[in-house]
Amino acid sequence: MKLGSLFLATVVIGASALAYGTTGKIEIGASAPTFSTVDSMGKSVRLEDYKGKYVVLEWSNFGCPYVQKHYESGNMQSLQKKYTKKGVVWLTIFSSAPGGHGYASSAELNKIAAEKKLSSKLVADASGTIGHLYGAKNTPTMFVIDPRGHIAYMGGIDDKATADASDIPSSKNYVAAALDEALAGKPITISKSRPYGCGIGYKR
Amino acid sequence: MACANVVLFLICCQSNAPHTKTELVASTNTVQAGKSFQVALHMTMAPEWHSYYINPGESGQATTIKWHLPAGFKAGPIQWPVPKRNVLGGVAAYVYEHEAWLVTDITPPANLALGQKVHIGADISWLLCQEVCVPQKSALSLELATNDNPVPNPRFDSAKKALPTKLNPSLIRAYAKKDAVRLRFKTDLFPASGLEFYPSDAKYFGADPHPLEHTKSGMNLVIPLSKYAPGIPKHVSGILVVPSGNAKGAHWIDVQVTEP
Repeated sequence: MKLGSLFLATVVIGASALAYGTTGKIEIGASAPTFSTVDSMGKSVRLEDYKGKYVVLEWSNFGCPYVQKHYESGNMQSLQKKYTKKGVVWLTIFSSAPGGHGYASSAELNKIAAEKKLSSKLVADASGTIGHLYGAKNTPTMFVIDPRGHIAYMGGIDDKATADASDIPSSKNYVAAALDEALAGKPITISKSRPYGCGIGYKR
Repeated sequence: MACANVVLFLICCQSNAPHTKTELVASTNTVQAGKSFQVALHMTMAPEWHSYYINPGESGQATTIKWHLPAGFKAGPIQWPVPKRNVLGGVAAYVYEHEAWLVTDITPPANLALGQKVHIGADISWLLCQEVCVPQKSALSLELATNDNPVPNPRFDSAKKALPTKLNPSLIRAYAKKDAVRLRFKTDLFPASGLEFYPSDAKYFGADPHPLEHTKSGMNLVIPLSKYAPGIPKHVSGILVVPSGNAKGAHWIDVQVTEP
């Protein structure tokens, strides 16, 4: 009897660990491809380690006017602050290659993060590995991963595809809406949208 | 001369955005009551920089025009010229390099008084990218006379040449299957290779390559849906470029999407 329940427990853990994929199609409900890297502070970042939590992936490039729209207005920082306080893990990923547009080293990222008051973990993905795994093409591109490791939202940050910060107050923020619904245990109404922004300066 | 240009370019871009020349070119020098005419936005981009098609693809932003017209005047949507598919570091976009002519139909009211000056204003907003991107703006205006003897403007000929023509929609069918919309070409009007399509709706389509599929029932151009598409579109529109044969040329098409 005791052995039986132990066996069951193992099976359950095994099955839920499988929710994180390796490769495969990037679509709503699919397993989020796992990755293992370090953040800009040198700490390990492994997607499976956040099992049980919502994870936001935000592709960024501080030289991009569409990213600047959301940072100079403070919009992105307030979203990061609001949702990390609620236990959401927020990773801001930079997939530009050295020499490519928007590349920054971990030290430079830390400096910018301090200046701009980010409350996310910053990840320099100079090889573009994580970016290519998710098929991220521009900045900002956003993903929300659910506590079981499935893709719950993918796409743009909001519905106004401009670089103009004055559009933010009248925009519908898809990431905030998805997180609010998900955290309240409700289904996500809009789970994908077209991401808009600058092309990522991947290694060529 | 070439050398001077290069030097200028380098100087301009160290601190400032590169220059994009924008101007309005009307199809006529005078306007008639109730009769549509056209105004082109002519954009000249700095070398190596580009602006974007209505569907920018996987990055970028389409140019927008906000018209300021006299009372009773109406402006139609932008008619786009054929863009170029540009792939930079694996990111595919539909762009315009060097220059672009964006044409809009404008219709004056039927009761327009003769002799009245017509002032047309336009706020233009576009994104200029190389590897970096710079949002740019300009405010343009144009004044036209009103009389019954319109004279065509020869400068508009370049805009006319860049405009896709309309194609009889019954020549093409569109149906959705799996993750793509397929354009099926019904007749022998179309060549068996070299067809290009530039879908206009960025919500549904990126700037993926479009393989040509030859099946027993015909020839299909496969237009993959973007992974961010909110389902299957009801219709598909865009510019079809036919390289040879009876239908040779660039055509604007708008076809309803049906079941296979």
